[in-house]
Amino acid sequence: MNFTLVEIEELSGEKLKVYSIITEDDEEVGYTRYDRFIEDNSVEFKEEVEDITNRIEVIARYTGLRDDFIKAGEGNIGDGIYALYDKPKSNLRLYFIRYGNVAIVLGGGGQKPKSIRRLQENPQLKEANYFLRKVSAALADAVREGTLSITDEGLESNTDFNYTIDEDE
Amino acid sequence: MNKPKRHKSPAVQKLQQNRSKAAFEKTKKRMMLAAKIQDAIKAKNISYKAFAEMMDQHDSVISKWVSGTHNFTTDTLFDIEDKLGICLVSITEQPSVVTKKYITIVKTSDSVKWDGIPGKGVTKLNSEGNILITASPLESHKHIGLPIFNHSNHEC
Repeated sequence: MNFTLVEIEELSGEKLKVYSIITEDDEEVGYTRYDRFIEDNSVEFKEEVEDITNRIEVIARYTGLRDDFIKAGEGNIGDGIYALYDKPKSNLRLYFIRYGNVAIVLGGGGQKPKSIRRLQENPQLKEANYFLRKVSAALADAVREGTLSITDEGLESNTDFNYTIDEDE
Repeated sequence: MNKPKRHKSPAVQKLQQNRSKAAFEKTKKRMMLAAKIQDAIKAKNISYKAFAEMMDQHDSVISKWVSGTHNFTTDTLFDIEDKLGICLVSITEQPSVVTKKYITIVKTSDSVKWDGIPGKGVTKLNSEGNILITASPLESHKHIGLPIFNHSNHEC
């Protein structure tokens, strides 16, 4: 599957660049994975989706990314998958890839009520998380190959930010 | 070098247009408050564990405090201020009366009878003699129907 990395204009700020992914399936409608996350959850969990979006915006524009605002270890070691800090009564989890304190790539997420201990217990959550691990691997390859750089200005490349995920992995 | 294309998200736009501004401001203040506490702990060169001991709290409570999602009580904030030597809640030393200044600019050519203002208003006439500036008790302005510009300027 192919995907393109884009910067989310409404969320990106001086303190943190906020990106997301448009897969080839969503290319026609122009939906990012984060747009899908909003669409999927904004009816049942409207306030929570608003809160998540607000927190990302505040981090990007005012506070910068701080370890205490986020939750590490949401993927494999080294793939940089994080989630926002889990509020006590929250139902949703949103995953993203972290690039230092400079940039994040928002993926999707899903319902993770406190009754669920492992993300694998919710197929939607599992799909969102495992998909982002593949995105992280593809971007790590690009960094290794020298076609993607992480600078103080965010992510930069001499390509068009189009990448391919190996579905069989 | 290229940068990723900027994406205008209708979903985020819709959400930002319809959200509660008060809720956004609250989130912003909570996160900025948490950031201030984080910075103060770092500046004191102590670990969160040590801070937890100072505050007589579990480590998990401190994690919550610095997460930017916690709704603090004023007592907790005062305790944190005390232990970290920082100011989180800005209040004046004396529980004084809030001072407000009311300034109204009136053209003398208007039919408003300013000289009938009751109370102890301060008045000035400019060099051309056609502008009157008064600073007088709010009640006086209400009494004769003058517009009121509130220039209150106080912390918090």
